[in-house]
Amino acid sequence: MALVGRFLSVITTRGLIDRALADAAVRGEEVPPEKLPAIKRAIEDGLRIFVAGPAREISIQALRAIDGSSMPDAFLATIEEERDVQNARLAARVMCGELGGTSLAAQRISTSVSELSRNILLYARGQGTIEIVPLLSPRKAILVRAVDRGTGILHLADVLAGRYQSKTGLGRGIVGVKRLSDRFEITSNASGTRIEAETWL
Amino acid sequence: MTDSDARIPIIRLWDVLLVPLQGDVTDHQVATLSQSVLAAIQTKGAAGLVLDLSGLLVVDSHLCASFASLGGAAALMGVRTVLCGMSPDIAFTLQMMGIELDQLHTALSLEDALRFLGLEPARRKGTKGDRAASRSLADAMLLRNPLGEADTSPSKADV
Repeated sequence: MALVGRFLSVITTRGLIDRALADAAVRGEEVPPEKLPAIKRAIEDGLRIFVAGPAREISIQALRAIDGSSMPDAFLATIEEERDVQNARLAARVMCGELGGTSLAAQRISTSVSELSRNILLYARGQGTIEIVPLLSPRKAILVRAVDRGTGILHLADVLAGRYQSKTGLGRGIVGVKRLSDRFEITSNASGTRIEAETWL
Repeated sequence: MTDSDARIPIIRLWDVLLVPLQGDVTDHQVATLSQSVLAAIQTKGAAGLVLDLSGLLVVDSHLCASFASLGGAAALMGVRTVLCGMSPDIAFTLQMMGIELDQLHTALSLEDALRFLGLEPARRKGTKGDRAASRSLADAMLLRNPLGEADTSPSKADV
């Protein structure tokens, strides 16, 4: 239930969880499986009250995904406005936590998601998607896939070599993602760009 | 978590403007912030600007570029900019990406940033006595029994 702690302060989190456990009459550390749905409902009500903005829906989805064993669902969204970029960044952070990644891994992955989704927003608004996929084999990792139907990247070789200076960033967005990930693939032509960046946990 | 259109506050501390960045910051928020910071520098006659990043969730290349251009514009107005409170995870991530913020001065903590801008803590004489007095008053109020009668036992602050 460290999930709640990523969205709320320590005190609010403890209060919320203690209250949910007390309502379900659970004592001690072990939570009986049959009580889990009731506890999750109580915590969900709490999240609705205490978490603001786009984080609210994401926190609730993450909570619903918990069933003791399952793998987190993949995230897929079309990037049309800034809110979509925010949602994608948060989803990456939550998924990384659910897979037991370190805070540095969460930082690397949410930064990559931020760079790739902003590129879609700037160059292919509404024509591109960000997908965040949890992987378990051959090793635990998160794959970020950015696919758009924009006009492609003109100076790809220069961009990847770090020689290109863009108007909006430090010209470091894509090459930054490449350096942040353990596996990086890019194809770009006049009909669109597809990037896969995988980071090991 | 900040809403995508919520305004980021600008706090004035003597001649320094302090901007505490929290949670998830959008490009739109940063653009609005940069404009209002530069306007505030002019109207309030600030000598320094501190950007406190300690509450930020993600710092990417675009945000760094925004900080750098804000710092550059502030420098043209004669104002020094200090970035502070960067977490180890964010620092390491930016380093991996090859982003250097060498145009901006950086400091570990808010205290260090303020000190760099020439603000040093100094306590007024006699403040210690005032504190002891208010402590003993607070203790006396807390030790009051439920009936509302003041507790007459010696308070801890006297020891």
